[in-house]
Amino acid sequence: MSLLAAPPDTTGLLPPGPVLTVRGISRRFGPGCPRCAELTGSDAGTNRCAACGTVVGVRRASFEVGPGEVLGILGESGSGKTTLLRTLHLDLRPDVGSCVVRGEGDLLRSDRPAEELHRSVVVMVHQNALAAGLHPKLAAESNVAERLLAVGWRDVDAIHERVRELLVALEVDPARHRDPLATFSGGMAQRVQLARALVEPPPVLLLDEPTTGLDPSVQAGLLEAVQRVTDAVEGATVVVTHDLGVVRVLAGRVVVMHHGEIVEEGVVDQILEDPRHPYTQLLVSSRL
Amino acid sequence: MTAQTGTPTVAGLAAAHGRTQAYAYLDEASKREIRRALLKALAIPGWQVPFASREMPVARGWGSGGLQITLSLVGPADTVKVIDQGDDSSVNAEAMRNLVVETAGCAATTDTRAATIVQSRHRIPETPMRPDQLLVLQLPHPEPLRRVVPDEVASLRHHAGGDYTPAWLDLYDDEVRHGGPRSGADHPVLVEERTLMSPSPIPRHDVLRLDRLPFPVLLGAGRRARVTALPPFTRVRPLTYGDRPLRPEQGGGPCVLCGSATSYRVPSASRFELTSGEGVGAWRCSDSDACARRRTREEAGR
Repeated sequence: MSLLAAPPDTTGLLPPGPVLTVRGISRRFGPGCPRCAELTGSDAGTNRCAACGTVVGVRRASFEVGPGEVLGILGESGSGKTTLLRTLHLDLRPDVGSCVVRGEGDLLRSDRPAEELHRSVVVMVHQNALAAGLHPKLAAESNVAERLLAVGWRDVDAIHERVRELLVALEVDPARHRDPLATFSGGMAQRVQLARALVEPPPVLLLDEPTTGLDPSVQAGLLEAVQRVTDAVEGATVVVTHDLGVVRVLAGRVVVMHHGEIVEEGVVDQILEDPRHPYTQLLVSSRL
Repeated sequence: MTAQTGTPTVAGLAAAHGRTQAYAYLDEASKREIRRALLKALAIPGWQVPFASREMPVARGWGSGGLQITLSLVGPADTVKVIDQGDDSSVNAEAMRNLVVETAGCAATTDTRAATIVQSRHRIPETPMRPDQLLVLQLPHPEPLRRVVPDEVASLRHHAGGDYTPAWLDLYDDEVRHGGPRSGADHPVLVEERTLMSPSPIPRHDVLRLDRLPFPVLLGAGRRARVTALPPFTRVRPLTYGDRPLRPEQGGGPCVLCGSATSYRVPSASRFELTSGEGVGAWRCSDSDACARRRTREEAGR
């Protein structure tokens, strides 16, 4: 299980400090007006501006994620979690703000093509595996191998070995590695998607509701696999979910979003056991 | 139409309307446009250059691209050879050769050495060609990424960035599920380590011979309105994994006519042999000219 073994010793090679630094990211959907700031947000109780109709997806989101750390983003539907994640994944261009990975310039304004960055810098595991750019007609193994091919692996046996190890580690039946992905169940396809993301561990891994739509037994297995894998990865992992159980299992720190704003941030135990913000208190009390 | 007793000809139809038939079937403007596209293709080896593909007296997909290239380049002093899967005497090869000869007034040959222009469907002649000769290949599908990237704009983006991951992925999936490349022919090649190109559906035997050919190779896709080209001595290598080299086809036996065991051979199955369950018949050389020359040499040596 080479992926789950200790990662290569990169001490001294990587710059010190956080892997992912997000500063003041804002993204709105609409023209905006001078009253948007006053009429939207957690205090206003809505993210839609009553004056101009603009929806404020995310406002001034800032956080850092260190090496090997998993940050959870909690919030109800429409709180801006996915907008923030899509911005970090370069699917949405932010109005303002920056995202620096390992101190190397602003990722959001990089000259490098997004496709290239998706291979080497920021990789996302989507909520719906089959709608996430996977190839349903290709073998599960081929779907995982694509990222290795993209970064220049050109030896079939080496690729096969690497992919097989990872799929076995994620408990995908070896008898099915060569089956087309379209024949896989949702949970199995999600494991394949996870294997694809981790086959070449990226500096930034984004997980968007990784267990949504899966039955509890599959969820538990997948979470365990994600946990083992993220423990072994030196990069930053961001998990977006509305499931407190997922955050409790995976994350070390958590930020809580409400109407597009980060309203509270802290270590998981503190947030879940002793929430300070009224919305977090409501969220925790209603779910636990 | 002029008074004719036989088959009507283009020249006859033109004369009936008081006009003269254009030399080599295409009008001069068309030929100039095709030659310009060819020059551009030669300047960017392996790159697909669009051209205004004309209606031809053969169906699109039956060699109209190769025919347009040949007709735009041929002159009265040329000698043209047309082969179809290595065979000089197939109906398709005969028909196209006759069209070129009758409209350009040039000579025809089946001898590769005597030809100045060789138009070929899916074979590179096995007799070595010289730098003063020209090979025109008929090309059904010029886009090597089409099978894996259906979107035209996305394909262009991959070519522009030199990102051929989809082609590598397709080959890898073939390895995983089928144990090797699915396609018996048309294996994608990398030109000058930069541009992915479809070499036309030539067998692997010929794909391996594409590297640094001393003569120009022009590929025409009439249906897709694209030309590609390889100038002399262009570096061409098949897209293969380090541990999975592309191997030439192995025939089921030596050629029944000349005895060659190194040429590209095909089974010569008759209808009776196929339907009677006896399987394929004897193996024979695909390149009829090269096979005949070997036989002649053999007889002369006795």
